[in-house]
Amino acid sequence: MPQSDHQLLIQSKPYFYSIVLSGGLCLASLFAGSILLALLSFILGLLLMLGKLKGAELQEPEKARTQFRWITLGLAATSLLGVYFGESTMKVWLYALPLLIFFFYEFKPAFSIIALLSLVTIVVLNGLNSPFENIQFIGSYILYIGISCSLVYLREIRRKQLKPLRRTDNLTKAATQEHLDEDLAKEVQRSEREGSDLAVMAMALDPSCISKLSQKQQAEVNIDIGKLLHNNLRVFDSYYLWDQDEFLIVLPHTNSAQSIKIANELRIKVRKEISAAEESVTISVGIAGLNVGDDSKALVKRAADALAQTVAKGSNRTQLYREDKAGDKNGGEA
Amino acid sequence: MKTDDQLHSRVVATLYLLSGVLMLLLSIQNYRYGLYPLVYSASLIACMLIGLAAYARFATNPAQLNRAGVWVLSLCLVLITKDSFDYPIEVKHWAFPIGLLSFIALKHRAAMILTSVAAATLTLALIDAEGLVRALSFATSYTLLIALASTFAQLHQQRSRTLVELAIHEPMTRAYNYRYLEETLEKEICRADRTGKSLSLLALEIDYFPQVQDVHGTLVANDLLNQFSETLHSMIRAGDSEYYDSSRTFYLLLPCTPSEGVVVIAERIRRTIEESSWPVVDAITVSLGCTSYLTEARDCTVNSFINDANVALIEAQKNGHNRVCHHG
Repeated sequence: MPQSDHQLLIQSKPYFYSIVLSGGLCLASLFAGSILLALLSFILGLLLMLGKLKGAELQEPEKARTQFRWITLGLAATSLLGVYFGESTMKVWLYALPLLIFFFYEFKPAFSIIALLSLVTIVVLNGLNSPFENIQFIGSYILYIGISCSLVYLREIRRKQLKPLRRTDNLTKAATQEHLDEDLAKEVQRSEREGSDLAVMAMALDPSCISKLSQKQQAEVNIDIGKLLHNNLRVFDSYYLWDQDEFLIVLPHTNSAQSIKIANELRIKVRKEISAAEESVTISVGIAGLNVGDDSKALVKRAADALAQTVAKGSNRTQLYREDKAGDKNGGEA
Repeated sequence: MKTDDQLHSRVVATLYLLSGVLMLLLSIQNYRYGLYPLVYSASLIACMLIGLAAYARFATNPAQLNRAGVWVLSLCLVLITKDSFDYPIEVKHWAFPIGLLSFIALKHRAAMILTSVAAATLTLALIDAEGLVRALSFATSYTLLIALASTFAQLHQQRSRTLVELAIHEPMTRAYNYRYLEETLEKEICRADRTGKSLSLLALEIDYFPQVQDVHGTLVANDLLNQFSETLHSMIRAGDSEYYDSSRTFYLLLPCTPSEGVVVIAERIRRTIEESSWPVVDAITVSLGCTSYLTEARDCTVNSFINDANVALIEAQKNGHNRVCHHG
């Protein structure tokens, strides 16, 4: 897919028109003397504009999503405030919200947010004295939500159909996060059956590097790291993009000592081959080996903990997870 | 594909029914509150939508349903616009669910035109009835709705297209796959029956392909297949189609081609393949089996037709490869 979902939205013509119209609304209400409406429509236009500018900048869909979630909540607050303070004309703004929420949230949280929002809406509407309009509003609103639910239902079906066909992230070639749990659980079972080792690595840019880079550069570095991993890991290793800028790597048939060796090699390679803003980039790695009775979640958590520990101690290091927090091996500058 | 269409039309039918029922409830409520003119339009819209839902239950053709949907939804929006002169505050709310509904029920283009026109006319009507500020407020919200709904619809369309692409193409050669051959052939045979024009099928294999695989390895063999497929693709006419059955047989389906024509085309393909030079293996030859379906011979099924082509192909191979055979 050449462009991600949110970019299709912000590049669409109607989105642009709605920004223009909200600007027009702001001016018109200013001339009509209703300061509140002018202010609120200004905020609306600003939020939409912010979405357009920020969204165009952000390449990663996940990051853009979090941005847009805030914008959506801002819009919700704006329109509810408007209705609460008696701008009944702003009721029509409430219609845009369910679709926005469905667009940027997963199905379940979206559903609860919309339920909450509808509740607040009804409470707010109860305070207003315009029964004639309220009947129409409630009827239309319920119908509207029903229709948007079915729109989302169709979308989810499509996603489910396409999910097995598109496992990897476009840019970094890393498998996406949803597959991690599933795959890792399978690997854990296999290594228990075969009695083989399994190690999980968590890898991230050092904070000292992150602070120097802009978000865009950071995204580019992630793409480079993804490529490097793609070229240097064994075929049966798999790696996942985790938390947007952390990589999680699953190494079957590898014990802790071997995985430390692999991690150090990767670390050196990254430092040598990848640079951003004319400076080389360093990474830190946390490693967790499989113990008897571990499940996939515990493994991931321990690897992430090890990473946090090593980052706390300094940059460009590798660390193996130990219960007593002490043990670091092969640390220090490489 | 069939089930997917069915699912979609079932969802649409349910939505029509839901909208109809809710509009009916609205009209009852309006009756209780004494907004009589709104009762008429609401119940009219409700009746139309419920009727459409019933029609959707029985309509077999999605295109028919689509056309009916366009009419009914645009009629609804006209009614809403008409009422918005007298009851601007109340009626404009109806436009939102109807607009969203059109993006699910109709084709993207139709929905886009319908809602844009509705947005423009309603805004004008509201300027007249309510003043500029309120009309602009409505317009802002409605365009935002159009933006969101059309993005949803477009994404849905994109995904559907990807799905179809993946389902009918053979991944290695990017020719169509065998399943799609069976599907198209069924249609084409039916069409040939109807139009009385003959239909031809070519089956072709690279000669001694297993040996190529053994000698040069699978990778080289796959590259060769890829190139071969591309060459074939460049040689067929518009309207012809190319299929690969994932083992080693290619099929070319040539509609409106009599048996003399197919032999000529087959011979041309044979000579072109023989005369071109190929990477690694240098030269290859092909054997081609072709068969034609003439409408006089009535007993032709998809399987027998493919089988005929294969029999001809085997005959060509038996007679010493690098030649064309016609069967049936």
